[in-house]
Amino acid sequence: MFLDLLAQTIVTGVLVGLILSLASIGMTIIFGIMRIFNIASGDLVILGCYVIFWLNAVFALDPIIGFPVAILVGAVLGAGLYYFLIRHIVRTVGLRSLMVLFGVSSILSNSMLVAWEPLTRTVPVFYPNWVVAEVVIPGNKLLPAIVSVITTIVLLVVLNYTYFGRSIRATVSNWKAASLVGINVNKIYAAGFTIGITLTVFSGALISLVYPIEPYGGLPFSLYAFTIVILGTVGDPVGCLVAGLIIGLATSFTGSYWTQGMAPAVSYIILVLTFLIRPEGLFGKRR
Amino acid sequence: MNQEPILKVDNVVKRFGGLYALRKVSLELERGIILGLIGPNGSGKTTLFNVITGAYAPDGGTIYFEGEDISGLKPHKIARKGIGRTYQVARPFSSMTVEENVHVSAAFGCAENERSGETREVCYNALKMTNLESKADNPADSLTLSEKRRLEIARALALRSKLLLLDETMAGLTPTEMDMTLEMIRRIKSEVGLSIIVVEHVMRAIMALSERIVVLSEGEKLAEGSPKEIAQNPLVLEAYLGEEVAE
Amino acid sequence: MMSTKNLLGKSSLIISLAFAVVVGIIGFMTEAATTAYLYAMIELLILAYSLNIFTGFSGYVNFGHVIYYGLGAYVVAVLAFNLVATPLPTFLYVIAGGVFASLAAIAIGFPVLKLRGDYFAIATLGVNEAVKVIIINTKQLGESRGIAILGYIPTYDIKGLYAMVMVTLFAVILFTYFVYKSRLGYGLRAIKDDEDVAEAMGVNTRRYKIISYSLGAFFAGVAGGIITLLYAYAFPDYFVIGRTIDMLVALVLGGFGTILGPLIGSVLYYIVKDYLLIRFPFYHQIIFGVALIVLILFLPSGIVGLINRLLMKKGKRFRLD
Repeated sequence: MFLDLLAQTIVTGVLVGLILSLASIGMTIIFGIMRIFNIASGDLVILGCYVIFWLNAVFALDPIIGFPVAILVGAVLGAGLYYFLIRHIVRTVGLRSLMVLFGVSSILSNSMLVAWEPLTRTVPVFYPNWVVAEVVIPGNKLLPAIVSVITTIVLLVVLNYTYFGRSIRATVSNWKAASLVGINVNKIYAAGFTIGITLTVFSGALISLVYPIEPYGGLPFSLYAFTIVILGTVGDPVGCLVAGLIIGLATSFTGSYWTQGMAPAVSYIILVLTFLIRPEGLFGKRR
Repeated sequence: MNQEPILKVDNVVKRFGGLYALRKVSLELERGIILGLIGPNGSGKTTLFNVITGAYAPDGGTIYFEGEDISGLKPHKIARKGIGRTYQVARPFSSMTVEENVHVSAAFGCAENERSGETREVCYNALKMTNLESKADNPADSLTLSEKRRLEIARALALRSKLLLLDETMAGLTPTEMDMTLEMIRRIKSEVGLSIIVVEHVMRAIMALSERIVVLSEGEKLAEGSPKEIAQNPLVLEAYLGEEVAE
Repeated sequence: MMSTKNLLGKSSLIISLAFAVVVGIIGFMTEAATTAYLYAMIELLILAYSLNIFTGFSGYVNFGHVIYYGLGAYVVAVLAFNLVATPLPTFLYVIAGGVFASLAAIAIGFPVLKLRGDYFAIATLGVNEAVKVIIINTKQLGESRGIAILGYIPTYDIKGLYAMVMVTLFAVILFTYFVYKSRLGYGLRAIKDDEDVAEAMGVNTRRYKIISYSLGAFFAGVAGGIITLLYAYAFPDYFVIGRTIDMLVALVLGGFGTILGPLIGSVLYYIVKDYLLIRFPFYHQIIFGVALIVLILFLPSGIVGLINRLLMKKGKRFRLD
């Protein structure tokens, strides 16, 4: 019995962790490139959720078909946000950008409130569950987790083996040096930001299969993302994955052995502790 | 008078990640001396200042000020013990006037000021010594570069510091301004009886001002001696090869 | 202590107090509905002023100020509930709420104020949400339903509580003025301009940050305590992020770190918000999100800052504070 619960907890934790890490990769790229904390990321996740929900509720489309739509929405929104707003606050004092994104977050969450009412929505899923030795591997969590891993791998390939990807990594390291070697930093900002937003909205599409959807539900996801990004070291997608697993397991264990309600609080406390004890993250260099 | 060195840096080490900024640097400063600290870019001069003033804690070694171990103390405590500094890039408090800027260090940085109630007077003297009394009510932002540099010195003076660390005070000044500043520093030193460490890239200024010179290179002390000795030291010249030596 | 150029510091104080007196008198003399309207405005004023004591003077953006409001509220509810056999005058509960909030602020501020800039802001957000989640999961605190204390406290009419809240407003305005003119305020301004240099000039930055953070928390806690008496109810919605937006927009609009800023900002914000709430319910939050962005980009020093810039252009040598 004990082993069963333990195994189940670990499985759930790993799956949830993988899904959450995708939600954070967008933020880690954006912060890595331009040192802007995307406080609106949670609301973008919820937006992705709503896209899937809406397509499903209105057109009875299977969520998987909704994925490309979410990606498109994310890309358009990301590019638009960058062009009209973000490029004016790049490289300014950090707190201004924080407040601006706080405003964006408010606009997003309240727009979704108006559009979809304050009811809690869910996306009905009928994916089969696997059962392996008394441990249930829920289909609605397994699919997003797999997609998450695939996306992360694709991203890592791009970052490490394409000129574009390496330019991004160079900018994360040192934007001044990057511009000196001929990298068009402004283009990197635009592209990086758009990709980051796209990934975030897309992760929302995945998350819609797992969590209930509420217009104001973005804040916890933003905080999860912050925790994962800082813990995993800013700008490091692999770190995101590792930190995501840690947070996933932490919330899962809290849920199994304490109460489900306290799981977010544990994650937030990890956030504050990470800031205090190891702000450079697990893989960062000590200042 | 006390013949003990006012500052003793003993085998100080400072690391940033895997990078060593200071490797077992040692030096001593006698009272009332102007010490020049020179070295190519990145040799660790500003880092040494930061360690002495408490902005960084040393990773190894000790720092003694007037015989007392001050390694790792918080900056505000070190300021109150009597160490003042200026910054490479002038950093005045931009929302305040010139007088208010100086008032901050007078009010917070010196217990003696509080006790004796002489804060106002100390401010006035500091401004007078740096030729800034006429600008006392101007916003600190509106000063020229040379005036901002002088404000930095005035702020440090208001601390009633016994040791003054000057970080590239001459950078960006015209030759006339430089001469004025040199004269001012000499005057301050003799009037107040300060000990000073000066970091400079402008060779002319350092040679003219310093009574002794320490040369740093890549975090280590390369040489030490009188300005004449240093100017003729082959190791020093080698370290500077490829660097433009301003004459 | 400070330069006498800011002669208008005193005038700002007088204007603010005069405003408070006028609003106080109106609130007492009119019918209950208007008093309630004014009550909410006064509460926003108190919150804006209390946030200003820390954020305004030190420059640290604090997204988690509202938890002290909530903590004050819960303290009053818990005290009223548990001391029902030997009830004390309710204003003591309120003060206890404020004191608890400021002690909590010291405890929280101790670690969290080691952080700078964005890291600090996000950490305050995390702490805010963590406290909210913990309270929602604690049986003794009523979980998500909260604590109802109807019947445990004497039935107050709106006027009595209005008096309490007016006293608090006077207190926080005076406090702001005294901090502004004091050594603490001076040190905070230095920290706001350049924290590292301030520390090198002898300012004990850590101590001053914690003190101002805790003072701001006190007043937020008191405001929270009074609202609990009004609704006879303390519940987790007091911690909601919407109130943070209220306070921040009001402060940005009026002008951080000044005496008149919170006044102008809160009054304007409140009137506009109430109007929009009636005409365009739900959309008003969207409009405020846009307003926040526009303000931060184009008017970061608020209305007071704008007035000061105009005064300087006209060659006047004083500043409005």
